Amino acid sequence: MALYRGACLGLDVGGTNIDVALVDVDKGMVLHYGKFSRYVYTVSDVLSVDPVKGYVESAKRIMLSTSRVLNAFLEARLPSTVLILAPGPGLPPPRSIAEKCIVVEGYVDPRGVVLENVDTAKIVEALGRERMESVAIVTKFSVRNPVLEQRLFEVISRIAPRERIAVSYRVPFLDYRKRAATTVLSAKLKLVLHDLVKGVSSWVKKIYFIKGDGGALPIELAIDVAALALGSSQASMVMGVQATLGSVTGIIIDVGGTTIDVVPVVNGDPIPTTFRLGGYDTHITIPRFESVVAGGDCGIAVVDGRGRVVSRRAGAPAAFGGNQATVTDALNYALELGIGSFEKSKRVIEELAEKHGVDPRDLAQDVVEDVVGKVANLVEKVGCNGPLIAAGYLGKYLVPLVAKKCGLSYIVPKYYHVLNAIGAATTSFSLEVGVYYDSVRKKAVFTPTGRVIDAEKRFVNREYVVEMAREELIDIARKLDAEDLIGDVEVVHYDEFTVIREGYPMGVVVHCIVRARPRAMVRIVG
Amino acid sequence: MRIALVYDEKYLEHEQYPTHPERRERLAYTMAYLLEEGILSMGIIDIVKPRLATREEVLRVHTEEYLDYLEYLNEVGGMIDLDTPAPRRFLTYALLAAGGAIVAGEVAIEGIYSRAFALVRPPGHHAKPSKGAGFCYLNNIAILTEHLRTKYGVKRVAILDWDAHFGDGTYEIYEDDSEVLYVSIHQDPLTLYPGKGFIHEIGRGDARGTKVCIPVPPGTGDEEYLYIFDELIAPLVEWFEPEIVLVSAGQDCHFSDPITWLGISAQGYAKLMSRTVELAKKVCQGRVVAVLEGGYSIEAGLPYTNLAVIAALAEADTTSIKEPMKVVEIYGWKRRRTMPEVIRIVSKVREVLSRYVDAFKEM
Repeated sequence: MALYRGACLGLDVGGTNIDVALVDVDKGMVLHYGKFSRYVYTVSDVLSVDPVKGYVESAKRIMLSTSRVLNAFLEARLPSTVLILAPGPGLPPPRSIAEKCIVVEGYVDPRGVVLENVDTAKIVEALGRERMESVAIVTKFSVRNPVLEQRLFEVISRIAPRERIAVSYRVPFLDYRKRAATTVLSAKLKLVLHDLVKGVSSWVKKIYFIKGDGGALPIELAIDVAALALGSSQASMVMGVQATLGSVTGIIIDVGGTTIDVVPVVNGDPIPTTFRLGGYDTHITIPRFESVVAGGDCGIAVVDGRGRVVSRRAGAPAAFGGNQATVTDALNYALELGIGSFEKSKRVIEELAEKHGVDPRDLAQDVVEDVVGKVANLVEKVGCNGPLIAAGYLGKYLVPLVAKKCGLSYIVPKYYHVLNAIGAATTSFSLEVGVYYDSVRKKAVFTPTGRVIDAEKRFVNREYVVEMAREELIDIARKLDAEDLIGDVEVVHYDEFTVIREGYPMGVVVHCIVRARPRAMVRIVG
Repeated sequence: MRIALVYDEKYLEHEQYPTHPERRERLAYTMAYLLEEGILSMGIIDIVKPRLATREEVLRVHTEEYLDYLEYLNEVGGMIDLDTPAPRRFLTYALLAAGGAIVAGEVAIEGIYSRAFALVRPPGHHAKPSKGAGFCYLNNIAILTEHLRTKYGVKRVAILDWDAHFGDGTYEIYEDDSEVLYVSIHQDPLTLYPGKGFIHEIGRGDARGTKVCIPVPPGTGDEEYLYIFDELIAPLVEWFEPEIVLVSAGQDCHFSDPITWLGISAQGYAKLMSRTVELAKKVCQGRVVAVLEGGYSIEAGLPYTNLAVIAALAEADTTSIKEPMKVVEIYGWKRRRTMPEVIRIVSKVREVLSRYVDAFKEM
């Protein structure tokens, strides 16, 4: 029997707008959609205004994608981090990942045995000398035994707020350098996610964040690995395309208020790329995309007698109540679109033209050509086959021009202006779950929960451990009331090892990681 | 420039029997450690896939009769000797190991990577032209050597074999070949398989002096190995002027190895490989290709020694690579100070070689 999924509310919180789409996930129907200016509304405001308020109460879930996490990173508006690192014996530790790194004793071996304990008193003393805006805790092989990280978390959370501390075992993958970079990012970004949902505590249990892989994760889990929300907006855009156009191959051009993103999709999926922090790889994958600051709210200027886009947001376009001439106004005037107030666009363009002694039509046309040229360059850089797919409020107008310049076809999907929100509303639950099964030590450790159980069977096969991991994943989802959101589950890592002592097999050690694969759960039909 | 780590998960499929010392866990455990250490994401190492060695490439080293026999065993399964069972399909993996060595050599000689490590199994240095032995079916390093000579016209090759066991297969293949310098440091053959590799085994005919056996007493460790490297190996290789240095990289000299009795630490291995790289820079533009041979201390030794050797090959900072203290406490008792004996052995080897090796003639 199919589970009831009901109506889901998708929100995409961008730099300029908050897009909203209410989708009946069972029927594939968009029930309502809208845009709210971030100059006026916060997330909390949007959820409280009619008619959204009514939908919030009836919606089973509120799915939130956002560019704010990535923007906070790109604009370097993040707190500094103290990295507490127990690397054990090995290559020199990655000290420069964080602003401050304290290397401590403590070592968990590859079997998950604690060979050296952490001296928590010493660490607290060392931390006392630091200015702690956020803290990342990383020990080697913590995904096979998180006890040292848990101990450190308990101690440090007595002297620093929990929402500023991140631990590495929440990411189940081996490679402690990547985990360290991921954890540092999470420590920095936790507050950004907290801020986003500030004031919506009454619905907090319903809130899911869209991750950079396009899947959704309940807030309870997402905040602990806040770095997973990097690339959220681009990923939800891909999911929106998947939900509306299916397994299409092409290039999405998302014309936002600040940036224009160019996102290639192959058979409906993004091209995953590893997110890097400084020179370090992380365990975070985000869709490959190229971006240019030339969105609708960007200012325009006259340079050497020609209209040009200024790579900086100028505020609301004149057409929508602002005071300055923007890309939106140039488009409105040059193409006579009649969006918002055409007269206001006309006025600011003509004022600017007069000031510089140029023809207003030429000025507006030059700006449009400048923007089209910049986007066409990115399309060429991405080099993906297939049509251009328009997204974002201005996408409908700008993408045909880019397509013409590039000699490509284009698609303007229904709901092109709220595709991110639709993608957010329709995507599946996605989570990686690891199980480290050691029958000689008689322990099985699960990540990201850190749960430890007795490993009852001395010899197990692949199917047994994969099923354990799968059950854990489903159990996590069930507890979060998200079981119905699980799509395909795939094995992403598996290694096993027989423990031989004195020539006899004593048991097995298995490390398996499964993933609920993100995908659009529904095809929008109406 | 990056180095290549030639590896494929298919190497884990080869199984003689589950409790055999040369079992798949040797690589599985090491790979998990390398992965967690993050050395594969540091931008200094690329994983490169191996290929199967061709029949033609194998026949440059082994006899046709032997290869036919292996193909027959591959179909029906059987036994080469008590140490070396031949389960069905074993030959595929042996060919993949030999092909892994070939790929490592190719990427280094073509300059795609500065150096390469073939993390392969089954090992090869006991395999002779017409007989497998000691867990080995095909002689990977000899197949690599012949490939370099045939395809790239390499004339002079130095093979440094630091496996705890004497590489009797490689020795036999090149016993008469004066263009291949083969130097083996190994545990005294009176105390360890294969019972050969004594000082007087120096090659035959014109090749005399190009085969060098350095048997060391049980318990020998870092200090003595490095002394041997400086006093014997370095001058030998400089005298020989090879175009490439190949390493039969056995990790079973580690103090925790369950089937040998030597005392090298992970640091010792790192230093041995660092010295090899420096030596190669002096004589052959830094070209070094290492091929894994033995090493059976799956949990206490291999993760650390493999990391040490691979990191040193990549010229990474190896100073903090060490075994956890608990491992040292358990196995440290194997180590014995053997320097006086080793000094005598080195002197004896130099004396034996002095008739053939210019560098030692003044003695």
